[in-house]
Amino acid sequence: MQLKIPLSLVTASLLFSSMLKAEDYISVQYLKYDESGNKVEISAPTLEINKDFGTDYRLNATYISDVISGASPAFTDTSSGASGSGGAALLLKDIEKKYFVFDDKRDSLATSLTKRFENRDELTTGIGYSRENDYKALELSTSYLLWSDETHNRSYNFSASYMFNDILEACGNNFDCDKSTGSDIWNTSNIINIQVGITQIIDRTSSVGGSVFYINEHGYLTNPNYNIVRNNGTNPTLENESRPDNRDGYGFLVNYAKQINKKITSNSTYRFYTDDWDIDSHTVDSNLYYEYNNKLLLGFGLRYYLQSEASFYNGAKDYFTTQTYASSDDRLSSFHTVTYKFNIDYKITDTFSYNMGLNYYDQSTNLEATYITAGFKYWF
Amino acid sequence: MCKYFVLLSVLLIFTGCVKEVKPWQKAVHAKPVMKEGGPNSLLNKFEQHIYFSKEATRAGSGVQGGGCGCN
Repeated sequence: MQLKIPLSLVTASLLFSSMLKAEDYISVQYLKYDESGNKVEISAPTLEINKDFGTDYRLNATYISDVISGASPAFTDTSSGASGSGGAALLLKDIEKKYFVFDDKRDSLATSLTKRFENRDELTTGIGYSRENDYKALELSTSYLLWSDETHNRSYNFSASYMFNDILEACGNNFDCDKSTGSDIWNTSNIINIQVGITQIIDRTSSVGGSVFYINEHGYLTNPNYNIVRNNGTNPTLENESRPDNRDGYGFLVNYAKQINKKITSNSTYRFYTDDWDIDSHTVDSNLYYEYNNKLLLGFGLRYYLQSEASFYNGAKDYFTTQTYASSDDRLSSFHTVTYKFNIDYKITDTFSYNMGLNYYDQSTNLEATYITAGFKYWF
Repeated sequence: MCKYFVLLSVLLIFTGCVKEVKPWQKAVHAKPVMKEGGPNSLLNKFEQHIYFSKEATRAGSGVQGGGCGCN
């Protein structure tokens, strides 16, 4: 007994010193994403820096640079080879969905500063900026982590963000735009995102978390790169798709993490989402981690996603007549996806680790994608 | 009925099953694999971005996520 008490104190102090150790690191990751049929290909190098200043402040910065190339689907008049123009007489048999080649580049920078208070509550404020050829976004966010008591077994989290989006509607894609005199238009939309959550430690090896969220998008929510076929009794025409200018979505998420034994840990999440575009979705994301030893960590993941279609979606070329809102974007259709994930993390020293991942994404709309990740993390 | 079952389950978790865990008993909870989203935050960001650009729903995994033109 006399020996046990000092040992416990030593263990506790060692554990604390490890838990309170500054999380200063640099992480470099690379993503290569390939869709089947060469539809979309993405290369994305990424850099993340995390730096603690004393025990009260933490700064995090992430920079992502995506190079995107591929093909986007659109209805096309195959008799002329063009994607058509509003009002022109077409024959339904000549209209087909074809893929148009595009290239884009995205630069995204996000930073956040966390302030820890005396009771270890945390206030985090963040700002992010993202830019593509046809899209710009500025995002402001804040969150507050509140510990419910001194044991720190339960915490509450309150988060909110506001995003300002600028979306380019190119005259070349716009059927209402006069190609000889018209010009590109920058449209705007905004997104409000609010989330309230709770995390509870159940025992020494398991914890549960839950949150509710609300998201509102308003402004120009139409995708300027997508078109539809309308047929109101005369000849079919190719026109811009049109979506409502407001969307309210909400739902909840639960997470359960459990160390099954000293080597195996499971971490699973379920999310329910619903919105006023009539889209509901269910997501189950389950991950199993196997710690082979202190250096090697293997991760196996399986994600299942199920979505219902938007009220104004239809993929057929002979469906839309005079509807105000209409879209043939397959991402608004009813489908399910399965993602298989595998990751290896190898810690070479106490301050350096490598990681590699192989993932396969299978969507029931005939979309398949493989993405690999590779990178390293250095603690300083 | 279903929602009451969920509520009941949550209440059971938060009242009956929870054991007080002392700070020095939280070694497992300090592990990155116990974090929601997994041990590598950047890989999680990659994943969320792919899902967000290929599916019609988002939100739930934090409020800071960025956006995309998503052709």
